[in-house]
Amino acid sequence: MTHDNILMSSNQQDNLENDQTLQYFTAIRLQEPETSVAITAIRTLIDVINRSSAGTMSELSHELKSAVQLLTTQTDSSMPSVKSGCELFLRFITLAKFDTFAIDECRQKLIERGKVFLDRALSSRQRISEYSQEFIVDGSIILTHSYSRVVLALLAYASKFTRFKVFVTESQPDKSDASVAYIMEKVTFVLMGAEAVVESGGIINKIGTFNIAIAAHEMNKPFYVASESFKFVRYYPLNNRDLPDHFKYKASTIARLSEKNLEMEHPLVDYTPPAYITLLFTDIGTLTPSAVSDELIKLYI
Amino acid sequence: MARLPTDVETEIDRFCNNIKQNTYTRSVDIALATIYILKKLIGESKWSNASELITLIRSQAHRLNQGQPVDSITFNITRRILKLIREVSVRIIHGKNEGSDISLTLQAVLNDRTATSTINDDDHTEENLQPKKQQTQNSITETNPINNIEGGVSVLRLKPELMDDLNWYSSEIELSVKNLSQQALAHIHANELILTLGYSYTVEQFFKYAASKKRQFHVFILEHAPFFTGHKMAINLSQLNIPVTVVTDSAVFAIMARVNKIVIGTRSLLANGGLTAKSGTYNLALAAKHYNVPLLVCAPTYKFSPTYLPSFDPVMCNSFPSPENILSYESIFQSSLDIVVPMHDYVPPELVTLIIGSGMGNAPSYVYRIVSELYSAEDNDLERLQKESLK
Repeated sequence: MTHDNILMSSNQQDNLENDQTLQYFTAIRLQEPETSVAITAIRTLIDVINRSSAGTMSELSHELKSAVQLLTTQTDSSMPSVKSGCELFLRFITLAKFDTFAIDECRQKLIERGKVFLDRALSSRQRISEYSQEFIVDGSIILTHSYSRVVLALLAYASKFTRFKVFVTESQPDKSDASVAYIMEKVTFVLMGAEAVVESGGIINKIGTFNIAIAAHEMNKPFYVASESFKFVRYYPLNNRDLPDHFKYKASTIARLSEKNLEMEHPLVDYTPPAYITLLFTDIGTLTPSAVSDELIKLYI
Repeated sequence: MARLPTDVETEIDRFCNNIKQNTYTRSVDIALATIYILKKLIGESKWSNASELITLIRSQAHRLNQGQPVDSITFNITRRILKLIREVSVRIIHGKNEGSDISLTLQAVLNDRTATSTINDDDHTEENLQPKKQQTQNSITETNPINNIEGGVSVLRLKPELMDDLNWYSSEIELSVKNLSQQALAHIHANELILTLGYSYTVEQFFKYAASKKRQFHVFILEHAPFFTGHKMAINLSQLNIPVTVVTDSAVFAIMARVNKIVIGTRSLLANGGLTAKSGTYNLALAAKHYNVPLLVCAPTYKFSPTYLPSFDPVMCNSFPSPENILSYESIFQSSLDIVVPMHDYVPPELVTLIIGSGMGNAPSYVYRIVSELYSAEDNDLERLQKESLK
């Protein structure tokens, strides 16, 4: 009897904590929509460490892992960047060496490291804007796709120094950006954001990106990608079908439908292979697609 | 900033004048002159530790590179020397060679934060404990170009080791073309028909070595109009008893079907594996791609540049010499006539098969790796310093 009571109350406690985590996450998403989703997730994780009443390191890391699980399955936000950001964050903070065994001190140390990581991630957009400055020349005509906060920050920064025109595609699963090939001949280069950068050097981005990449390749126009380094994932898709479901569809969609019906749904993202990408602008420098896997290994050391 | 001794100032001025007047005919001459001037700068100026030396060199870098674009040999060698200084400092402090440059990874960020918070190391001769977060409002990337601990290495310990390394680097440059040409036998096979464009000292040595080892092969040389440097190449090669045929540039597509491989030089090699080479090379590369003929590029290490071309527009990133040899000044009556004579072409990496360097052959997609080992990422803003100095 008492055993059941204990089990139930610990379940209730878990649910309570889960609710708090989700609330914190959605609150930030509502209040600060220009903040990257991955950054919001990392701030949520720091909050989880703060609120945690864990008695040991392994319990704390278990809590963090379940928080990550929660964020990736229960929210409808951009999946790949949340997952990669959280994974890098967890690796970063658990690499700390602990001299004391007191859990509170350890927790403080983790929070400190978390803040270092967060600072770095917050300044990454500024770095990207600076590194890519030289590629935006006066009189450029730039094509971009959908809404990327990184590209927006980059172009806003560049507009202080250069004059250029931008074409933006409207893309949704229902609206069509059929005129991309039509304007491609006028365009100087194509600039995209990315939801995730994979190990092969390719990118995962809003559906329609691959279309534009093929058109740009055919017309010999450079295809540039702007992305923060915490979006690098340890994943090597071979083609578009190879992408896992939790990248392609919203969490709520996956929960709603069974596997067979899922194939009938419109995917939200597609995979662009590295052969179509000219350069990537990241906060660790300007990279060619072949350099991505090297940098990825260095990040995860 | 300390004033340079008069000797050094004179030498720098002389170097810049020589560059402007095109006194150096071969790229290896520019390389040797650059390293000579940098050795003089390091040897004779006043500096008390590694950090000061690096600041000194960075401040003179754009002056040395006057009149040259950012992917020039001078800049490459300057950057290489900056990396050598850092390496020697690290070696002195830590006693062994550090691995690859991890300054921009997350680990390094954390190490820097912990390093500045603990005070140590009695090698600090000056108060070089500038705070790591020295960020101006304009730019985050203008942080301290050298780690605080390594910057403190004093001149007494640094100079002898550094001069040793520089002498070794200097002899490496002298031998670079020779090392490169010794790979010729691996690439030139018996009775092959090899195509080249214009005159390049490196390529000439490459062919010379193969001929000296009694390899029989035939060379087609594209004239390289309007400068016609191909003629000089033809004369030099025929004196070595290599069978030579001079071909006009426009015939490149017609003869490509018969060519076995192409060997060319380049002015510089960009970080993405692309080339800035003599005008006419892009034409040659496209024809080669069409017929699937391998395009081999001979590039000694000092031609590897960590920069990218900001724009593929051929008019933007190019130099245009006088059109005198096309239409002389007196023959022009209409001022509405515009003569465009670009010096260089950009060749994208997809068209290049192999880059033959002083060590061994590499694929263009591997150039980024070599570049990250040769130079430090902190020196990537030298171009920006150059642009700002021109404003």
